[in-house]
Amino acid sequence: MSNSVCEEENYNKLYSRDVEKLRNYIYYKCGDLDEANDLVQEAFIRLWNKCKEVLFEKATPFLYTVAQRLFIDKVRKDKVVLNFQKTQSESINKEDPHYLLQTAEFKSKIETAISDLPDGQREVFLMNRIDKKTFKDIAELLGISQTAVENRMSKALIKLRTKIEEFKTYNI
Amino acid sequence: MEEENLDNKDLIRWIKGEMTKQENDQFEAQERLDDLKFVLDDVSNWSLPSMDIDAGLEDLKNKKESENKTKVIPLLRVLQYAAALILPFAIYYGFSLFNSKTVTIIADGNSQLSHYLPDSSLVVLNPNSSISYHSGKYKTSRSLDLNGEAYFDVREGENFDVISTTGTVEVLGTQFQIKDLDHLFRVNCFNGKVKVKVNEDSAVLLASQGIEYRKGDEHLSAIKMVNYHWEKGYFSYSAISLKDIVGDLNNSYNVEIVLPPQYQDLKFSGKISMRSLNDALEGLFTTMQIPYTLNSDNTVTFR
Repeated sequence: MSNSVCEEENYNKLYSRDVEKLRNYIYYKCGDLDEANDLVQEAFIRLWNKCKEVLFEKATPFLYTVAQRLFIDKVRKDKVVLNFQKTQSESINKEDPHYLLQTAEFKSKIETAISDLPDGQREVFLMNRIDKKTFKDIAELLGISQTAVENRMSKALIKLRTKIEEFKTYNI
Repeated sequence: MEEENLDNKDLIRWIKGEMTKQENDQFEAQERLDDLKFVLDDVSNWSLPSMDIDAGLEDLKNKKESENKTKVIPLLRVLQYAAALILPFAIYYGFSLFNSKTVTIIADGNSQLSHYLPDSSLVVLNPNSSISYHSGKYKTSRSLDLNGEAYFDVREGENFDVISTTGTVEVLGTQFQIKDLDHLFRVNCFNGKVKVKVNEDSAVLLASQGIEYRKGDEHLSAIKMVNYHWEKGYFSYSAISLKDIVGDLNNSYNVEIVLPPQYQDLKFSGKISMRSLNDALEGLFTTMQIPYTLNSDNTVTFR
């Protein structure tokens, strides 16, 4: 029983390990950071209330499921607009073949293109890129098959490639 | 067309880094992935504001404690009262138990019904609702069964429990309303304090708070309080969707109005008469400028 979620120490460990990625996940869904911060706390309270029933190993998928339900209850936005802290190199060499891709303007276009992806593709894409989760992990957290995760990812990649080409062609 | 040619499996192998160097280079060139690769690497370095873990844990600790308090205090109080009060009362009322009976009050399909309980607490039953209680036991522990929808104005005193099919409402204060339909269980607290229990989930409502539980939900969810003054002859709403309002009308008048989808999410604020279906519809749809016709068989058609 040393791994019970009801043990303060285990619970806190779960929190420290999962809270940020879970918050990010909710953010990818709703694009509202305050809401995401609130919901993630709520999800952990639910976990505490159910700590006797949820195995330590299953706590993370439990949290994602709860967060998903809370999200459906509370937030439903028509359009998701995401904002990230982006890397910005100080000086960009105009001769660089990737010059255009490094401009702030281009990055913000990519950000919009990601925001505009369908929910499922956006979540998978960002969990993989930003939270560095493997497709296998994502499948487990979202309760879907790994093939489904990979399908979403490849669709997202193909869309992004098309967008990038559009941006470059019309040189916007 | 090119999109279709791109093999998803290869794309996934590529992004997972499972290709050999040669395969990788060839694939990248063939599929013009150079820019995409650059963007993907860039996005991998994007981030969101980091969280303050300690502050979050502290916040959780406070929330956990405040939940515990609501569980502990009533228990202590009950124990104190049990010692001080219930024993002599139980002996006294024990005699009256012998000649008491179960009382059932039923409001039929068309009218509301007011009923005073033995301790002069008031119950207003909405049409198609009923309560029942044991007249003798009621005096020692105020508890009754509810089916449907009712408004309560409870006299001061010991615990007052309403047991409905979905959940239990324990009254810690005075005025509240319960709606227990097949798919929906909703409690609004107007005054004082009530405690709502559904399965293992419980919540304490203060004045002007409401809570809802829909069939299949795992938990109770807080709602904006809906001010139904139907015990006074009207519904009063504040920015409530037409879908919900029509649901109330259907329930109160025993009709089945089907609202076209384009109107369902419109919000209405104001009062609607309960005197007749005609008045209610006129108040609602005329205000919202929705053309409708009330047919003689009480069905409603929208143009």
